Amino acid sequence: MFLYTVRRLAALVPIMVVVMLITFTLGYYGPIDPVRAVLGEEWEDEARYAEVKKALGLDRPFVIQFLDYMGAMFGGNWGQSLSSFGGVASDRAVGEGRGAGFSGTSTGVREMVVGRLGITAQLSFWALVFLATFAILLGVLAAVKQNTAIDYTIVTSSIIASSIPAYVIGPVLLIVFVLKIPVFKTVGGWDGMFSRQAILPAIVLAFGPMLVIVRQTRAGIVEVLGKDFVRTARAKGMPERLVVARHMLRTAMIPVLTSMGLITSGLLTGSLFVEQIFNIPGIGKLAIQTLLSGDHAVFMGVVLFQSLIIVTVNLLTDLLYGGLDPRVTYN
Amino acid sequence: MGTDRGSQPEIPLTDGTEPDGIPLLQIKALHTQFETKQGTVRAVDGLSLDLYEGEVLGLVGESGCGKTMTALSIMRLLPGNGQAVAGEIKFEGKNLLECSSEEMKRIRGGQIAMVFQEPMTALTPTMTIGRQISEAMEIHLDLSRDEARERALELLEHVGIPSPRARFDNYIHQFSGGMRQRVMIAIAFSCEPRLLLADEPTTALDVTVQAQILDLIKQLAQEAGMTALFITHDMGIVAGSCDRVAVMYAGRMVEIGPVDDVLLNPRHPYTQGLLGSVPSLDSKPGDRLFSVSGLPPDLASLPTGCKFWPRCPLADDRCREEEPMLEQYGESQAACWKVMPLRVE
Repeated sequence: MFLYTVRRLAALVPIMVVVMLITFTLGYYGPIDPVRAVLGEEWEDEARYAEVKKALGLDRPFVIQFLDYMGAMFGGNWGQSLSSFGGVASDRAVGEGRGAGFSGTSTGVREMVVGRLGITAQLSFWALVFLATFAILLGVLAAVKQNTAIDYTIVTSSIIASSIPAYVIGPVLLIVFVLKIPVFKTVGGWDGMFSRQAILPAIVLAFGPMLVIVRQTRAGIVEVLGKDFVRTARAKGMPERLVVARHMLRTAMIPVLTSMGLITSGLLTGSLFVEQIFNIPGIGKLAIQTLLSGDHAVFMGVVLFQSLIIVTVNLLTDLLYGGLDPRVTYN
Repeated sequence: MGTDRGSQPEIPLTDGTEPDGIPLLQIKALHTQFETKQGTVRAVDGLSLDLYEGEVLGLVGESGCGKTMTALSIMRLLPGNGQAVAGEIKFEGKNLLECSSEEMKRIRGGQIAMVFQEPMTALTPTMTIGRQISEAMEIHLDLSRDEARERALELLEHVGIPSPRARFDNYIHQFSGGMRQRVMIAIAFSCEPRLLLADEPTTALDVTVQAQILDLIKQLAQEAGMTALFITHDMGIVAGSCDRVAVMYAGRMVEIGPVDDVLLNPRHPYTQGLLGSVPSLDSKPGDRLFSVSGLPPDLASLPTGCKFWPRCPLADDRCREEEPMLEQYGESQAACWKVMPLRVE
């Protein structure tokens, strides 16, 4: 398993190079001119323009620029946000983040991305906890009470919860729990994962993938319900609770784990809607800001980090299969 | 059956005759049914059977004759919508069919244990074999996790698993079929049940392994003085392991008696057919094995009269119209209008 992990981690390098090539190319040929963004009003001054362009190293050929960029990225220097140059674009970027409660003093791309990711990760953590407990529990209950009113109620309410988009349920929850019944005084911003503010967005985040988890858990349990080994467990006189927990759950969780992996990637790359609605300065919001403001270096950092997350979560998922199913071997 | 037993002289158990006393398990007119689209399937249809303390009773018959469903009715673990709709299953005087599910959980594994046919699928693939043995002891014998582990290790040793300590944390896919069945047996014997239901425990195994597993069950049951119901279709197992044998056909009993008597002097034509389909040392090369022609009846639409008549070479009008009841013939009982004269040896 160690060798397997090392091999998988080594495979990260070429994947990251390809992602870098794509984002860099898009940035290079894209409509945003970083020199102009840095200069702001001054961009029409040709001498100044050429000077800045040379200073930023943008006058060199594409290949050289890319190699330079790649080297810097692997070296841990992810570049600087445009805001470090004090241009208009960066003003706009900072403006977008108003009231976000996030001190955007750092202009290093890596610091920005990692800082924002931290917030998204805390939020995702709660959503995952909600899914891994509540949704799985509901799925098990629905399966054990198969084809009864309880089953139908659980499945139907999961369908409802998951089919309402976040940009609808988010504002509705805000209206209900902030305006009508003021359970939460302030909305938006981020005060850490143990603040009350984390509750609503985490629930909204979990609602979307809930149906998948409930249904898959239910299907997984129903599939093992009639298995011989379940009958053996019952023949031993085991209480039904332990029959489910010890003899059924692990087998049933294998497909659920696959979905949880995909959901985790999705959550960690940031929810654009939820972070926007609740004004949470996570990585999803950073992506929107930098995309709109043309803060190219930051945007590339975000994309790169997101691909890194997806690949890593994939690897973790694969390693967890072995924890669930002893027949899985890694070599 | 069972009403005319009192007058019989006391005969030692090993003779395989019905002993005196109150049976450990008493099945009375058990009806187990499944509702299907094709109608009501009568898997067990009025079966009565007594099992006495310390005896090993063989339950034989073709696939689908209701042997397994009888055992699962006792355990109250019938699949799907199967239900014991009528009759009694008295275990130590208590009707299992009326027990609460809590009482049944105490009885299952603790008082009555079952060994299943398929060791490949009957054990949980995602749990160590050690835990599968020890968990029931924590419940029934009220042992701590460590105590149960120690006892499970002893059991593994006892059922012939080499280096139990290393094997305890193995999973079932790391075991061969015979080894899996040994684990299954360790589970069944772990809580010292009074009654063992063995449902074709050797059918899925290699022939060489079959004998070992059979010997193991016999040895353990003897050590524990356990009563056992041995479900099989193998007359060889019956001859080698059982005291009495009951033959089932279409959900009911057609013949029951001491093994020696039934095997040497089968009264029912169906029993004769079953025995005729076993090759013997006396048969000459080229001899054809006797087989019961035709197929077992559809349990959703049984024939009138004797259920065996469509396949019986001796059937006449009476067989087609009137159902025969079990009658005493010598030491055995058979349900047939045409009980065969004793075979001359």
